[in-house]
Amino acid sequence: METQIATGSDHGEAFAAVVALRRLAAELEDATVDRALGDGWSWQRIADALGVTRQAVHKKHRKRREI
Amino acid sequence: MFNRFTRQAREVVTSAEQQARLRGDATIESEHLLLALDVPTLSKEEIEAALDAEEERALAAVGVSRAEFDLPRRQPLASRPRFGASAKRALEGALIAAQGRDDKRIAPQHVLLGVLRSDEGRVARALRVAGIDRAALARTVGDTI
Repeated sequence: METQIATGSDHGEAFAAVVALRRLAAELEDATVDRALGDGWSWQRIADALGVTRQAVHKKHRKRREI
Repeated sequence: MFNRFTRQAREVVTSAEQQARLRGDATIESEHLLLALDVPTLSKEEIEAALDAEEERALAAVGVSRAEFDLPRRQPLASRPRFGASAKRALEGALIAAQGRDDKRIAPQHVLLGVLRSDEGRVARALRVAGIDRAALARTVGDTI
């Protein structure tokens, strides 16, 4: 898709998109980790799928889920 | 840093932390301070709507919509959110605003001036999307101190 952002005409708009995409990616990660764990995925398998270490994924998501 | 803050200004910071935690945001940002403050002519609902509109618009600019993703409602954070860069900048801005006016204590209005100070970031963009004149709002706030 050709968007105005892709042409780099407005830096402010491009940064706004970067920030919003980061937030969306983080939310999508949270939701997907929760669903995968619910379906019986191990932390190691989730870590492999995300391309990070098991410790990293554990540290990031274990606490969030302890409510 | 907080020793010059009035009790009400400290309560704003605590309330901003609560805002971040309830929204599931890992860091306290200037938008959480804005949501924790009394803003002249703007309700909390209007601020929330402006922030949502900003995000929707930013995503639309790259052809993305939240509706395409099957996302659950955001859950409150179990851990304590940390201070993010934009909130730190806003609190520095509050100190600068107080210095500029020779005010000894930092009141919630100074915090609001700090939040309104930056030309970039989510707060500035959200207010722009909502058609709010940030400079005029800051002048109104300054008059109430």
